[in-house]
Amino acid sequence: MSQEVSESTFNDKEFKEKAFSVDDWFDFKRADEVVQAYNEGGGSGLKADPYVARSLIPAGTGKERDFSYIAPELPELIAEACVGCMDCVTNCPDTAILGKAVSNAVLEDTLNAIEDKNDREFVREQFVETTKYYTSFEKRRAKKPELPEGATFGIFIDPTKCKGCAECVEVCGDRGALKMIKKTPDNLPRFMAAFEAYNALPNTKPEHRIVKDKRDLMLNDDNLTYVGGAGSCMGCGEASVLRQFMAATSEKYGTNYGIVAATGCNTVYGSTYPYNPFMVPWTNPLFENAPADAMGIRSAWDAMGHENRPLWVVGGDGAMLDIGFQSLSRLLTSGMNIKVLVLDTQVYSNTGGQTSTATYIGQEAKMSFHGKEVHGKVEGRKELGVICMMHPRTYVAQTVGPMAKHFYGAIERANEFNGPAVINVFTTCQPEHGVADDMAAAQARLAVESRAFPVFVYDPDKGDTIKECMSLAGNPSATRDWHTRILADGTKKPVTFLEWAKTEGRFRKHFDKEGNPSTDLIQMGQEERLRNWWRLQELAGVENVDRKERAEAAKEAAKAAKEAAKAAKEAAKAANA
Amino acid sequence: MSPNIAALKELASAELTRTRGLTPQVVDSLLSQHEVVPEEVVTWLREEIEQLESYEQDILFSPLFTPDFALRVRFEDALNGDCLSEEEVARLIGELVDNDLRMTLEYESKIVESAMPAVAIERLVHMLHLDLSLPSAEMAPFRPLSAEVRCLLRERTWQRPQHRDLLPTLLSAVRSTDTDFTDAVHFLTDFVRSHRPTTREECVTFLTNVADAYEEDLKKHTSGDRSFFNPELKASYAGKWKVEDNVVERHKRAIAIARELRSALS
Repeated sequence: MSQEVSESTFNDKEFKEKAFSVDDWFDFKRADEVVQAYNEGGGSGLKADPYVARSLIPAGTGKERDFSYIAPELPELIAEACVGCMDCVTNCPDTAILGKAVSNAVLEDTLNAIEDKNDREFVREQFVETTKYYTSFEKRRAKKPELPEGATFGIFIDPTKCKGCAECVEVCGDRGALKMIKKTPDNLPRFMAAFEAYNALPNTKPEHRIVKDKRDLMLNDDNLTYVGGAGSCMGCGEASVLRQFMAATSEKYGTNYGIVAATGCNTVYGSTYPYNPFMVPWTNPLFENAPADAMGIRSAWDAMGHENRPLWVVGGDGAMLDIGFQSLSRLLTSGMNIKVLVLDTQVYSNTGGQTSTATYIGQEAKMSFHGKEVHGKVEGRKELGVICMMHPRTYVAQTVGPMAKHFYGAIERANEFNGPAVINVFTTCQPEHGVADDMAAAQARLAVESRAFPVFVYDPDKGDTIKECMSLAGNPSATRDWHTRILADGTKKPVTFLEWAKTEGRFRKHFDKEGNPSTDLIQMGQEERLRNWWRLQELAGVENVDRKERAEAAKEAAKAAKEAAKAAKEAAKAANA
Repeated sequence: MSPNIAALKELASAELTRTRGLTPQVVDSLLSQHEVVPEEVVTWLREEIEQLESYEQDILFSPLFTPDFALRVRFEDALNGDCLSEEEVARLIGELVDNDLRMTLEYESKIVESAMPAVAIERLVHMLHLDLSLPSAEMAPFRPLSAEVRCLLRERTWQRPQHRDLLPTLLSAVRSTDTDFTDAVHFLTDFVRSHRPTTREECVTFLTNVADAYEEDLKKHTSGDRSFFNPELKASYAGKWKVEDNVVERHKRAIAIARELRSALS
């Protein structure tokens, strides 16, 4: 990436040619000039930008974007309640809440550098000695003094990135360490000052990151390669998944990998000039050709000796299941070492909610409901994961971000796998799904539990048969039709597709005021989801106990009917005799 | 009067050992971090709780051992308006740990018993704020204080000297309004924690800011508007948001209290 290329612009009457180094990719000074002009509303006064002339946005410029004047609320830390789980950091879609573990000595140095007494006190109050990062280290060190000392742990909010979705508060849950508060002219500067202090702190040392807890991937600043400042909606489930995928990939490869992002919502919010949230090379081809584009890049990188540099294609269900499906199939058939992350929102999110082939039966999406009679999509959902499995030697995982171990395991294995890999991820789209801003993680989990979106892994290197390669681990009650919750009063409640559907606005028209299903279409949707689940069970070699019992009961009933008929026949015969 | 340490210990012990249902958050955490599906939860808990590292126990069970406001209030009588020293709290935790308490969890009508993790005891007791003192001299004109108010005034917010100094002014203002005293102290505790005024003048300004912020939100809620961060997405979705009635009511209540207090302080 260091060769010089020429640049031609028509920003003057005279045609000019000037040297332009691709090393400038990380030219934060220039990026800052442009971004500041935009932040201050002076973008039109800028000179023609060599980046724009080449359709380039410098990496990571999203970091300079300031949303603090838009979002009405921000989370406040109640430090004494924090256990350092990192759930808030992991599930934030905007890189707006960050964790740091540092020794007390380092913290004191940082505090001493803060001039304002009140700001200093506030920063100190963001730290707590947790069992995870402090006590357990100190206990080990008491036995072996050469071991690292404990670190004090802090959570910090970047008010310029926080959109106020409250997903962090939701995942913190009953721990009660985060609370949304009103952002006002008096408290905002203090949060800004605290985040400055956070930025002044060194990176968390590797020995303070708990390797087996994947949430700690985001405790390493170098893994925060999705810097935020993207225009995604509050609580966007896609953005959280992008952050997680990039943190896991950057843990091993730094910024030495590439992303080819198919046009879709992720490119709309992820590449609005001059704001680029990505710290890795990222390119945006059309809706339909991202896999083909990636194949070209892969060929070029391989020819240049970069065979081990990962290349990811990112796209939504519109791009990967519909418009670019043929291109994806071609990629998978090629056997090329390219990974694909599908952000499956079950709808075309960026263009206003048109139905895609991933849309569920009954889902209200544009082009799926007609007049008073048809209240949603009538076609079954295309199952991309299963289709991808049937391609030559392709690693496939279907997963959700909040199932951290499953999700990160899939990304890590995809990166290791020498061949094509597809990771299909359920991602919540708040406006299209009709769910609250803070519900991305909860709805994704419920989608798994209700069989709306079962998780699975298919690793072709695990054996010779499909069932040897496929695992349904992570789905509750994997041997049954539905998972059944036993409520506090002892009653059993199957968690069906309908139970999930009634929690989302996109299926609202199929339920009456009491939440009872009121249309045949939504029942059809449930039947279709069950059949999809049965197919996955069959492929994975998992015997369905409920089906078996029903088959045996039917067999018994048929036998009984046959015997009854025989007896009737004999009785009739006897009567005739 | 001194705190009744024996009563505090008994209350804590009873609270720690009561049967508690696994919440969805804990079940989700088991699946997310330990890959335990719901039907395996009971077996896993029976076999694995004691094998977990203490930080894993802390993360997993912290949602179950975080005292809520109502629980903290229940400890107020035994505190007798006083507090324990840090050493007394440490001793109380040590004694509870040494008592070999059992943790009883219930999931889907099944009971799992295990040794009580020390981290659960530490969390619960620390977060009861037994060692945090009540502002005493400053509170004389406002006595007697209900257990709820005492519990609120024991929060860390009121341990900061600058905020403790401000307390009599704020409480006098509360007394001069029609706002329910406990509600107002609750509001003030949150307000001072999040806005940190240090003078009466700052209180007036910051209360105005808070009321304005809620007003602004309320306008958006009632018009179906909200914040967008991308013009294309705004074009697609603006005006389609509905906010639950209880949120609107909460906002209105906060505005009313903020305005009353601001008037009283002005």
